[in-house]
Amino acid sequence: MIADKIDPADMRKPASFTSPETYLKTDTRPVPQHMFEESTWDLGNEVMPKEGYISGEYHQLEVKHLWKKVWQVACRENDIPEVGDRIAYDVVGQSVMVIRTAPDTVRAFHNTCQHRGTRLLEKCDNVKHISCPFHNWSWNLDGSVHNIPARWDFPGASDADLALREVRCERWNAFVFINFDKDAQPLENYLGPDILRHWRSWPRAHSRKTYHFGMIVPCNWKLALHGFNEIYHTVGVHPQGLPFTADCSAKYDFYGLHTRFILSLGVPSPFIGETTEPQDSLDAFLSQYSPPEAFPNGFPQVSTFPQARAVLADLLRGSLRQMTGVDLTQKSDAEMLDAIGYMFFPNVIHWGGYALPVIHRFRPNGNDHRSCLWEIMALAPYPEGAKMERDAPLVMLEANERFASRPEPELRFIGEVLDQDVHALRLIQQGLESDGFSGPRLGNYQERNVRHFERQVAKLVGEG
Amino acid sequence: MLSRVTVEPASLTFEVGPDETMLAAAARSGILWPTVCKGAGACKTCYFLIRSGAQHFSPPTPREQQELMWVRRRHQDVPEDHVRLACQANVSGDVTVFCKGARAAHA
Repeated sequence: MIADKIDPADMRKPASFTSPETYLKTDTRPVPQHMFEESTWDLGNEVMPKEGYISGEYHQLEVKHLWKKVWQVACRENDIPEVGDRIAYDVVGQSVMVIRTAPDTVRAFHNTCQHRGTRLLEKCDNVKHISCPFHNWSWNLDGSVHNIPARWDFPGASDADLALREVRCERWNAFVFINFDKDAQPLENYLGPDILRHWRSWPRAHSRKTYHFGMIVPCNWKLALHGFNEIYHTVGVHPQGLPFTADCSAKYDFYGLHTRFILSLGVPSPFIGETTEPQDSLDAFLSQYSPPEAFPNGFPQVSTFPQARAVLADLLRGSLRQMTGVDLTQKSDAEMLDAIGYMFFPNVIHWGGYALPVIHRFRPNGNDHRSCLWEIMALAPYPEGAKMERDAPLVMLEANERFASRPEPELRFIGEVLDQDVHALRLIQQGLESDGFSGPRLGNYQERNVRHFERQVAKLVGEG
Repeated sequence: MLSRVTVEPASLTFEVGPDETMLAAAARSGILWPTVCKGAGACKTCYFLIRSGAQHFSPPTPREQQELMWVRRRHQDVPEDHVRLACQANVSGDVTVFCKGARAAHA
């Protein structure tokens, strides 16, 4: 409600914290105007109910009123770049086959044979026709019947009856979204004008998914999502980031169902602001995120925080150019460096800008509301016209496997951070189930994206 | 008996009693030492590196050892037992340590 709208800066305690806007104003390049915009208000301080994380009945309501009603990211277009490429997207006991039926057409079908209900596609492949392994029924890529052995034996069924059942499918920024609800509003309306406008700054159509890891985590999917939608946990989970992470002055905004945070990096946490010089921030950042051999003569010297941010942003521009050939000279320091996290309701968090265009996706583990599938992927921009390889496929990690122990070079610098997140997520469900815990007590400012999200879920679930 | 602690790179000195942690003694002496959890042994931001006098430090508890694991990975050029938490370590002799964030409060 507009009446509830107050100056969000008032909610940052103490008011002396340097806001992200302050850093944006000292940028060496023009910053997209939308990064200055504020769309946030006080959501109160009530203790939240915990039912949504521990109740099987609540999960069933979510299945009916959330998962079967919302637009959700099924894959990237570059997961299925060639005609006939298809990939399965599974959620709450449903499976959808997303298939490229023509060079610029992608469609989605329920992943089930109309004969006996056999699952048609296990993971991903390329086919000329869709076929069922049980009795060799087959369909054209558009879902129409191609061949049914002993067709005469099914006289009561028309070809239309036997065609694959289509699922709504729309695309945006090379994400392929699906929606089980035939009457759902168009995807662009669902995302809303603000999200569409903001993301014109960061086109992802010509970006390749360079890695894609998944892990089953023993907590409700919403708890895992929340772990990546507030910055407050840095102080407990990622203390090594405090010298270069302005955690409690991060900015949080609401856009319809969706949310955004902007976290300034290359500047210290207000928790240790008094004992951190600009050089300390830069040193800690580069110690964490660069190989020791990259700076044989020591780290660059800086004397102000804007300078530290500018130097780090320049280093990132250089390394991205080297890795991808893309020229990001015109992009602001903030877009190169900061964590700009958009939550596309209900289950994806995608970072804007170019620092680390990471995508987190969360889903219940089948219909188990006490565990979830967490996936992390990253995009790399490609120069216009350059041919992209197919996206990296999903690699599932074992339940107790550490990201930091994986051989993939992409995890060299972020593996430890991810392991810290997993460690915290493993504990949260257990503690939350306790009779000694009545419900989450969310921070008014730093955890308002979480509160906003839970209100949207409660609204949808309550519609039943 | 008091021990003298010299802190690099800011060239600070302070004295610490036998039952006092380094962090508590630094605060008593007007030194700003990085900490978030104020001595609970949880945030790890108060860690320092031992430059001399390693033999004068109390041995780390298993809990401190555990907390130090991630810090040690960032300082692999330093002997493992030369990385400690100021909120946990006691000293009984003069030592020199390195803590980048430590500063005089009035500075």
